[in-house]
Amino acid sequence: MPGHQDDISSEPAKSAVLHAEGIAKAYGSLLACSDVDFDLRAGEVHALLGENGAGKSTLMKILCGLVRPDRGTVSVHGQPMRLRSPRDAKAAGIGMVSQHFELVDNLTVCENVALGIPWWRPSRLSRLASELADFSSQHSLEVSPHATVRDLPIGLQQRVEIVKALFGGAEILIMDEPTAVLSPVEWTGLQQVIRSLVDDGKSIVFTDHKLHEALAVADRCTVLRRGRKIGTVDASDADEKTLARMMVGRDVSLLSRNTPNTPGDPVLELRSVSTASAAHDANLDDVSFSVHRGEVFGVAGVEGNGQSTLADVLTGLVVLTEGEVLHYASPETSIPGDEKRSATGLIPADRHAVGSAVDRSLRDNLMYRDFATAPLSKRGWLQFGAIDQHCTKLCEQFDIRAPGLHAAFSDLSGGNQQKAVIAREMHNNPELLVAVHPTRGLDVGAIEFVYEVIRTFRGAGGAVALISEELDEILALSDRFVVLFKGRPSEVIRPDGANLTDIGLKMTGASA
Amino acid sequence: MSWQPTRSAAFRPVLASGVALCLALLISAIILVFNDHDLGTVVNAVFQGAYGGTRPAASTLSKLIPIMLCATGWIVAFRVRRINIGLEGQIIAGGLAAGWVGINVEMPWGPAHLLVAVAAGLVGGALYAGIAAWMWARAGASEILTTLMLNLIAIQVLAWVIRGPMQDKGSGFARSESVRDAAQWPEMFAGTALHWDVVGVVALIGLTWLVLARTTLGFRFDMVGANPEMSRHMDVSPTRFGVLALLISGALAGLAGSSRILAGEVTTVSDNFSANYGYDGIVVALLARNSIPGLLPAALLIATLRQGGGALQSRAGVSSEIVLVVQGLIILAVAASVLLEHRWGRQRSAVPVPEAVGQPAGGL
Repeated sequence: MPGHQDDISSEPAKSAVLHAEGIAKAYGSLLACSDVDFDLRAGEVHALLGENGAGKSTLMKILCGLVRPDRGTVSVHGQPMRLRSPRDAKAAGIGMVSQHFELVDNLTVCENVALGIPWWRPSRLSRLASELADFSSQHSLEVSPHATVRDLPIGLQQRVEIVKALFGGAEILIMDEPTAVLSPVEWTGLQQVIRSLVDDGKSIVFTDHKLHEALAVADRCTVLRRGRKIGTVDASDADEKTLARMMVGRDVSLLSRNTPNTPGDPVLELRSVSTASAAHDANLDDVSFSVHRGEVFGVAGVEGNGQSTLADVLTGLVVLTEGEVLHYASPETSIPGDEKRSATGLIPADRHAVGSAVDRSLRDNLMYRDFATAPLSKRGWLQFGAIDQHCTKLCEQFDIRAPGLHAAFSDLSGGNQQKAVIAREMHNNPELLVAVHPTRGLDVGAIEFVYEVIRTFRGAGGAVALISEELDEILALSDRFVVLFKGRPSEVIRPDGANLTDIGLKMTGASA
Repeated sequence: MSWQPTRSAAFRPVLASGVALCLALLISAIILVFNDHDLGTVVNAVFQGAYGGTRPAASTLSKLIPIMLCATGWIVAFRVRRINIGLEGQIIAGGLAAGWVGINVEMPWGPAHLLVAVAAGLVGGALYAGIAAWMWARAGASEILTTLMLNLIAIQVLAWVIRGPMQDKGSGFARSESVRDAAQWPEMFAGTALHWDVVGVVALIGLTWLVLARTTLGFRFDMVGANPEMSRHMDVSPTRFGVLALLISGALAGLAGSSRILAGEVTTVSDNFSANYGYDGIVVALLARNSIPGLLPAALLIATLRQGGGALQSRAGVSSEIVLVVQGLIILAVAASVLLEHRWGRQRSAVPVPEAVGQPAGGL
């Protein structure tokens, strides 16, 4: 639908359902948004792109009343509005679907929707349920009103959020990173939902890290960089390369395949591994594979199919019920006990819960792996001179940008946090690197850095076990990979000549 | 780029505690004035009671020992984010153990007797904390609840012991015999409450501070406290170090208990010899914001209030319960200041600092 977009730009305020002008917001000395204009046309899907800290979430929060701008105006249907709270935004017909769903897990879909309705009486619940059923089928957003939210897959939970917003009367839908939590199949579903919403006359703004997703569904894309608007382009005129250049300010290349390699001896071997103790994930069921020197071995699949159990197995945190995990230091000998783990670097899935201590300093976070070894400590005493030297070196080597070594880890951007974790885990060249969703939540520039680190490590003869939900990532980085479904691996696949449809089917268990 | 530590952040808690303290004292003053008391007289009475002469001054200073030991114990446990409410019970356990050794064991060489009695106090406190630590490690029982309940058990056991097996049958009172002379700390100044244990205690607290701040053990404690899940992945077992910290915490409280018996004004084991020092220690640690160097001023304040407050009734006609009111206000104000500071901290870091504010766009 790009046809009608060229002629009306002279008076955007009138044709736009949502128009923001000259928005500025500063947090202390940091300009999160500086003089940003933005407009959303009726029936349009508009992607808001930018790196972490580019200001897109601030802009989103201003548009839905969570944050008040220092300067600038927001108008809805040409009418200047003061959005002082999400309630004001809701009254203006703006609905928000946040990245972390605001649903009560143990209530039903219907009850969750009811929570958003003022002056609610429980006696209306059954009537609401039937209204809801009609409403959601009308908008092709089928979801059972009586299902308990906890039992729904992530994609459907997101659908509940959308229904909640629409049922509250939203004409404009603001979605913060809607695809961050979705599997490829669910993403296809969301695309359909977005299209049908637009057909119903809704207008949608969403943020995204993944450019190909934005291009697939958006009519226009607005790119922010360091709080400034770089430009708005029609999706039909844009490609990933130009958008990435707008976001980062230079050319980036992510999806180039690995150069061919000649894998060496195995570093890690899993033989018929099964587990029984996983709490929040599927248990492994007869998993066997080996990772060789100079090789990236990928494990694809949708989260919840045993990936985190596998990561725990690889780092030695889970007791196996069957099978064995063998680490080889050199061709013949396997390392016993604790040493094998010090020879394993881990980039965990959750940087905050597992990878770091966010309220400690950058320095502490850089030394958590090595503090007990010389020269960082001698006979149990920390050597602060050597520690500062070591950490400063890591910051330079891995290009970690921070106000200082004593800066709180939480004050670093996501990209710099991930670099710090990587620096800590990788600087002493481990035998094996276990990388679990290593680029989750990172922006293009930081993703490029992570890819580079993994490729360099592989090139230097390191062995990498890469667990990722991003099929593109698996295809770009790994030499061989398996798809994990309900704890069982598929046969080993090579990225060259891999059949995407077939892989997609394997991820959902409908193996061909 | 220079890597200078930001010093100003380190002073923020000191400032917050100071402001909270002033506020609490101000409210206390208002309460006193509204009850028609002369502030000058009250303040004078407190200071006279606490420092008016060698004996009261020595008494005040001797109160620092159990308060600071317990506060240090709290800090060690809290470094691993374990909440040891059971310091009071651990004082009792340590005091009972030290007292039993001091009364019943006979040693050929005097100083050895004292050493063994002190060691018994340490071990007693550690073992008593160990019960809660064990229940936590084995079954995940919250140490907040178990240590609190163990306090009540300790009080009852003490009451039984000094009326039963350890009772001084000759006196007929509910108390034990006196500890043998060899097992008592010598007085520092004759006729005062200050004994030589103060030197050892100060050294031990200093050592604890060094261990926490400068050794890999202290770093492991802090690491577990900061993120147990991460520690697990770094081969630092949250369970093992949680238990160890609780044991050390209990040992310090047990040592406080041993000093109550072996360097006390009375050298018998009796009801209430722990005298709420375990709880005062928590207050002091809170006031010092869990910093060991901050313990001295905080402990001095509480010790002064405790010692000087006793004289309020007689000297200024003010009910000595006012001291409890002041203490309560201090706790409230400090707790509020911690919350406020957290909120400021969150607002400050609500937005991640982007990689390059005012930096050239190189590298990334």
